This record gives sequence, structure tokens and C-alpha cells, in this order.
Amino acid sequence: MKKETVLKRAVSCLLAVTLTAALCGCAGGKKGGNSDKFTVGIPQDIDSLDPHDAVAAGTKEVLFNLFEGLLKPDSEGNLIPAVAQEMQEKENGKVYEFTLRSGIKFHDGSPVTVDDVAYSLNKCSATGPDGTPLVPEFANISKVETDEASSLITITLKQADTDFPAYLTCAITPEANKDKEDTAPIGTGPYKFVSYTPQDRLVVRRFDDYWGTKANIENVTFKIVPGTDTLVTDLEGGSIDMFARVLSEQARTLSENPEFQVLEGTMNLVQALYLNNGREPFKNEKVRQAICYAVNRQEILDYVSDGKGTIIGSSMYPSFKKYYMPELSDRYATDVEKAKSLLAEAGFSNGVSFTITVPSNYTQHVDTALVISRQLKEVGINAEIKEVEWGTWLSDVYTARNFDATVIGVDASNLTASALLSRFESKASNNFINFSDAAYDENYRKAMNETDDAARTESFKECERILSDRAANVYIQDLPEFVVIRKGYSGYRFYPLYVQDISLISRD
Amino acid sequence: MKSVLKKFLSMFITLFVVSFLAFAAFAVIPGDPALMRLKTNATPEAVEALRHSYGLDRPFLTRYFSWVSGLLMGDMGTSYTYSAPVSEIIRSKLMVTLYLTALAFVIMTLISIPVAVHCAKNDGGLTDRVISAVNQVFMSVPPFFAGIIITYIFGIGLRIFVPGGYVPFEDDPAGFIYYMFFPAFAVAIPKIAVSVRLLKSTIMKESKKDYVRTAYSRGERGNTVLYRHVIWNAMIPAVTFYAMQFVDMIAGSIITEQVFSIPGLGRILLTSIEGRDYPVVLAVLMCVAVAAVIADTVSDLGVIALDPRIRE
Repeated sequence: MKKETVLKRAVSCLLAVTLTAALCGCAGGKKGGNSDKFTVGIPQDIDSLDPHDAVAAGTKEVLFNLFEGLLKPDSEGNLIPAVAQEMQEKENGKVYEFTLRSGIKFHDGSPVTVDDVAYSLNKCSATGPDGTPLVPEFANISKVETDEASSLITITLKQADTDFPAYLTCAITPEANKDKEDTAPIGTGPYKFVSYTPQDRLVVRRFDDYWGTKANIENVTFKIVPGTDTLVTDLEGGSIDMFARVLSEQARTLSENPEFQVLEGTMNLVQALYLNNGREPFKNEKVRQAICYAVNRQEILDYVSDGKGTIIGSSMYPSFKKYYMPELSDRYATDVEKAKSLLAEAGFSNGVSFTITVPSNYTQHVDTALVISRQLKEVGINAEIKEVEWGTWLSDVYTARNFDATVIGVDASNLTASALLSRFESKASNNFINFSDAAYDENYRKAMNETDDAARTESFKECERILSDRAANVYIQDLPEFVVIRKGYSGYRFYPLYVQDISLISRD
Repeated sequence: MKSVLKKFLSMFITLFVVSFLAFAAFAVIPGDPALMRLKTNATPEAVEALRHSYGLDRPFLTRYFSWVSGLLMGDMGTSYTYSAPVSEIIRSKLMVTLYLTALAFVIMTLISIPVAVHCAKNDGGLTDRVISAVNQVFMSVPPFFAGIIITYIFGIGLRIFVPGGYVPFEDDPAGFIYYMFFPAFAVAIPKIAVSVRLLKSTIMKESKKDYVRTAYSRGERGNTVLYRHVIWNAMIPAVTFYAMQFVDMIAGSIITEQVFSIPGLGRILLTSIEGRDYPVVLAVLMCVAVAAVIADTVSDLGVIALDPRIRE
């Protein structure tokens, strides 16, 4: 009898505790967006807090809020002065002179000195174990000189390069913090570092001594939400307020929710069916062109992203206003008959078979490959799809170049045309499609050695034209990017690079 | 004494075999850690340099033995992704997952034992029939699915908790414990169902034995017999069963973490496999293996403690 009462008491105790906990939770269950706190969901972990060591685009877009270079990109794709107040180009792009912004401070309150600038630039130009600097283009730096009294920093190059300022977005950090750059980083950006828990979150706070327009929201948390499965519930439940790059079906679901706004921009990448030009049957230009004619790009857009996205015709996307050539988009308007006759001319009237290798983690690329494969059947091409893991894609396709064709999006790491075009030079180490064309190489070299801006742009455009004419790849689109933000916040702006500028966001 | 020694020996052999199989598996699957770190910035020279610094250019057996000898000294290596000691990275994650598992285990025990006793006492009654019908359903619910249902009902519907609103213990202990209650419940649900059924049947079996009849004939009353004799004897097979459930629940926790966005072992295991961060992957696997082996050993020792017949 006694034991029964003990048991009963234990059960009722448990129930009481559970209920109390549940009631406490009701009272404390707050929804996001009530205080001056904003939580941004990010799809992957930070690979390094040291802005110079970080490689992943997903990390750089976050660190953009914490660090600045001498110059920084704006949302229009221009380079604007940041740590430097002004820049002077001398000797046709061989010497660059910067004046340090007066009164600029680091997050810890210490003033930025010319020595800190020299330290950061030297850190990025020091060669690693493989012989290339952290910023590969810095191999071109001959010397960095500073003058404390006049706050001048002079960079002299080995070879003139008018694109060089684009690489100077490399972060300026204090030399005094050199041992703690990967644990407690300090920069000059609109937000300063507060804390970081691997795999979980990065917390930042507004930097009140920022030299420019100060950020609106005081406390920002970047919360890691891997996998997109829980994304919608996390947004609806209120644990995150914003997420960039949601899939089109998620965008559709969330746009029906009155609590959210879905903004549409572009992902800034060149999505294409990349063809291994060094392999049969793609060694044959006619086969490549036949595939270009066989593909219906609008149908791909309709299927993959509800008709959103921008059709492109070469390795350049629309945000690069200066270099983008919209006229190339309809160079290969869908023409099944022409595709068939080109295949026959090339001696493949019995049909062609090849494999499209796609990284399975990118839903959009897998979907695109599916549509292409179906479209190619109509002209007698049998394209089999092989989904691989991202790691396998990197080693087999990208590095070993052991593939027939692949669907992927190629992005630009900085605001120069060469960021997108350099890889198609025959000898380029990242020319994973083995494209080789003498005219292309010549135009590319001409552009790189040209100091006159108009002539240089023209040569780059010629390169784009060649890629299109020779059907180096089957260019498809610049994918749409959907950004979901809780209603009540505004000011988000799309950048032509991988950037999430949180400082512009404000509460209405 | 001999049986305890034997137990420990087999424990070490098991761990050794697991470590070799795990290490070998990751040596053969495609994907290069150096390449995963450098991604599209990779040049052959940079990859080679990084592989060298990771020690990946050494022969397989050399790598394996240096890893094992490191493990024995308590050094789990350095993470490729975070360039920090693996032990430092997984310690906090391990605590999160163990807490989740332990909480689920407590919930399971606290609910399943009284319910099983009740059902055994009222075998065939209305509550017993309702409970066994519900059990049938719950038993076949995988924990991640239970997690999704709980998220929809309590998170989005009733707003009792914020889905994905995990807070680290250091920031807000109460918030942490409160949030973990829901995933723990999701992990526990199928296990409660299974253990209610098992406990009930062992209690029923036990109560048909001769000593129970003797107890009754001595004039003891029903409840006294049940609580003083039957339950304790029924616990002997149950201990082994609960130990197995604990290991199962670790696996369940790892999966359920994904549903509730909890940065525990599950998340780090997944991202490390994707990123080919082998030192971390292997460390996580070894942690789970050690937990399994320990749970098994403890249950054996528990049975020895409970059952004087085995002690000889």
C-alpha cells in the first residue's frame, strides 16, 4: 500500500513539473522581432573568423558586415572608398596611392594607422606553402610604402593592372590583434564581433564609432540553419527573421504568409550546362552548338524557378553592367531541326550519349539537368544524369576534369571581368571545361594588357562573344535569388557579389 | 570477477574493430579533405600542400596507427575545418546530445514503468486496451516524424515553444532545459511504447511463477506481492533492454536534432561528413561507439548486481 502512494506521488510530481514548465514557456515564448534584435539564418557554418583565411562565399558574405578594405563594393557594383578616404592611380595603373580616412577607428576604439594597413596587405601577399599569396592577385605587388605624417599608403605593382583596386577590398585589421584574428576578430565595419559558437551562431553588435552611415539594428545574430528542411518552420516559429537564397517553392509558401515579404534579386552566377571540351563528342563544335539549339531555356526557368531568372548567353551576368551583353541571350534560340541537322553534319546522325554529373546538394542544378535531359531526347541525344555529392563533384569534375557535362553556377569572387573570364584561357589552372581557343587567348591577353578602359572592355566583350559563338558551354541563366524577411523590416539591398549587408536593414 | 574482466576485454576488442572499420571506410570513400577546404580556389599545388599539412600523404596504416595512438593518449587530432583540437569542438556538442538522450531516457522510464504496471494490473481492462492500441501506433513512429508533429502542434499551433529557438546552456540554462524537453519527448515516444509493452509482458509472465503463488498462500496481498517481488524480478531482463534503448536513443537524438535545429553531435557529424573533416567524424563515431559499449557493460554489471545467481 505504502509503495503505491510513493509511486502516485512521483507521477503527480512529474505531471506538476511538466505543467509548470509548459506554463512558464507560454509566458516566455516570445516571437522574433520584438526587441532591437535581428536574427539572420545562414545555410552553413563560418569557415574562419579571420577575414584573410575565410574561403567560403557563405562566410565572406557575413564577414562583409565586420570588415572593410581600403575600398569596398557598393550595391551598384562600384568600388567606394572605405578605410581609405581617396585613391589615386598613377603611371597607368602601376602605382596606387591611398590616403587613410582621418579619424577612422577599429572596433576596440584604437585608431587605424598606416602600419595596420601595411600589416594587412603584407599578410595577404605573403606566400603560403604552395607558393601563392592568400590573395593570389597580390603576387603582383612589388612594394607597399607608408608615410605616417601624411597618412599615405603607396602600392607599387610589378606590372600595371587597372583592375587592381578590385582586389583591395581585402580586410584591414589591426596588427595588435594578430594572434586573435580567428577567435576575437577586430575590423572597421559597421558591426563588431561579440561571440561565436561553432555550428550554432555568430553574434555581432552595432559599432557606434563607425565612420560611415551607422547600422540601424543594434544586435544581430547569424544563426546557422543547415539543410533547408527546417527553414520554413524556423521562420514561421520566429527563431529567425531573415534568410537569403530560399528555394522557389519555399518562396512561394512564405509569400502566402502575411508575416513575411519575399524579395527577388539575382544570384549573380553563370548557370550553364558546362561541357568538357577536351572530350568526345564535345571536341566537335557542331555537337556543342546542336545542344545549344536543342535546349529551351524559358522552359527551364519555368520549371526550375516559376519562370523567374534571367536568360544569359555567355560567361557574364547582368549585374556586371559594364561587360554584360544582353544581345547574346538569344544567340541560340530553340530550333530542334537545326540541332538535328548540325548533329548530322558532325556525323552523329545516329544520336549521341553522354552523362551529366550534378552535385546533388544544389536542387536548382539537379532540376535544370532533368529538364535538359528531357529536351535533348527530342533531338536524339541521350543524356544520363548522375547525381554526386559536393565533395565528389569537386574532386572528380572540378579538379580531375573527369566528366562529360555538368550543370553548375560559376560566380565571381570580385568585381572584375577576369573573375569570370580568366578560367577559359587555354592554360588556366581552373579551366575545368578544357576550353581552348587561340582567338580567345589573344583577346583575353589584349584586355589584360590594355590600360585604356574602353578598349579593354571591348576586348573582354569579344571574349564573351567567342565563348558564345564557339558554344563553349550551354549557357542558361542567372538564377533568381529569393530573400525572405519578416514584415516590419525594410532597406534590404541586393549586391552584385556574395554580400549580405545587414547595416542597411531597419525596423519600420 | 572473471566475468567482469572478460567483459572489459571484449569491450576493448569491440572498440578496436570499430575504430579500424570506421577509419578504413573514410579512407576509401571519394572526396578529398584538402579540396573541400579550398573549394573552387583549389590549385594542384595548394591541394598538395594542404594534404601534406594534414598528413594525408602518408600510407594508410601509418595514418591509422598514429591516429589510434593519439586516441589512446586522449588526443583526437585537429579539425580540418576549424583548425582547432577536435576534443574542444565536440565536447560541447557531446554534452548537448547526451543531455537530450538522458532527458529522453528519464522521460521514458518515468512514464513507461507506471503505465506498464497499471496495464499489467488491469490486463484486459478498458485503459489497458486503449493504451495498447495507442502503443501500437506510437511504436511505429520514427523520432524525427514525432519531432515534426510536435513542432507543428506545440511550436506553430499552440506556440508553446519557438521552433529552432535553441539557446546554448551557457546563455540561458532555463531556456535550454525547456527547449530540450520537446525533442526529448519526440525521442522518447516510440521508446515508451516499446518498453510499456515489454515491461507489461515480463510482469505478467513473472506473476504466473510459483513463488508468487507461494507469496499469496503466505497471506500477502496483491499489491504487496506485485511491488515487493514481481517488479524487481521483472526488472532483470528490463535492465538489459533499457541499456539497449539508451544506445538507440543516442541515434534517435542525433536524427531528431536536425528537426529541432539543435547543434549537437548530429549536426557536426553531418557537416563534417559533407566537408570530409575526418578527425571530427571519427571522433564522433568513437564517442557513440564508446557510449554503446559502456551502456552494454553497465547493463551487464547491473544484471549481476540485481541477480545474485549470476554473481557466483
